[in-house]
Amino acid sequence: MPADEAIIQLVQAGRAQEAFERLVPAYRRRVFGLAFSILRDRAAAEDLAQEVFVKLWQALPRYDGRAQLSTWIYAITRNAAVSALRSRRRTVSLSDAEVQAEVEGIAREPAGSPGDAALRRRIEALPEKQRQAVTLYYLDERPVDEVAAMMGIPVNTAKTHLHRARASLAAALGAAGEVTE
Amino acid sequence: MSERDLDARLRALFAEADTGPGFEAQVMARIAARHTAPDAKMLFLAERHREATRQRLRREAWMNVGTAAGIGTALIALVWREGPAVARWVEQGLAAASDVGSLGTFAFVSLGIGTWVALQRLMPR
Repeated sequence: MPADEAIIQLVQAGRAQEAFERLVPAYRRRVFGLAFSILRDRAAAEDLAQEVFVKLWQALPRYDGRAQLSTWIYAITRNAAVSALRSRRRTVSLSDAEVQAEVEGIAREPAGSPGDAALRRRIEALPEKQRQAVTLYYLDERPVDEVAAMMGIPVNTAKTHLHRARASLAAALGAAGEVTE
Repeated sequence: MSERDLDARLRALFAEADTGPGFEAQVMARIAARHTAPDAKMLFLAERHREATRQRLRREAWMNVGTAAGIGTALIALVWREGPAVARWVEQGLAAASDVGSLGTFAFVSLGIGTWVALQRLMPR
């Protein structure tokens, strides 16, 4: 990716601040998308994306170019998101489950048609990796190989997750009378 | 609805998922906050360490005064109660110390200890 090359050259020239100023707009959507695909909460994903960029700002001067820039950034994002998800699950398990579910339901109530709400529920019900693949693929219409890189899995595995997810969604919505092929 | 329609619906569904306005400014604000935080934290920790040291030295000084006062009081009480016996021990001690052999041994041992202490202080660590 040309933007990555420019960023790496700036880092190697000791101009980390300039490199970071280019990195944030280049990776904002991708870091947010990856966080969103794991956390499934827009506000939490945005908060986490900001934290990831703070980490990147601290680590960028030490980036040695051994891994691809995108791979490095995705790994940092995935680790941070998985840690956040674990700590969130611990917090939720300590609180009253029903109240928590109601609060989350209100917070996540999306604007849109009832059909959108049904589709969201179907996506939520997908296995984790399938849901993540669908989110990353449709969030910015990314190619499957980039979805695979973001998830840290082989391309064929990502294709399989995506195919199964779409088939499940089509079947579920078809059963509910929403898909007519 | 065809698969193409499903694709379109999924794209539309995720299109609204994005960061809020001012995302980059918020990142920079977080970085600025973190950048100054270590300095403030270091100052706080250094001040806390200094205060702990001050309190420890004060405590030790009081303990030293207490110990000296206790030993002094015990010696006075001993002399007060056992005056003749103490006088006898002192006399015997002085007589033993005035012996040439004892004085020589004492001087030799003192010189050795003094040299060892001096070397300890002068040798680089």
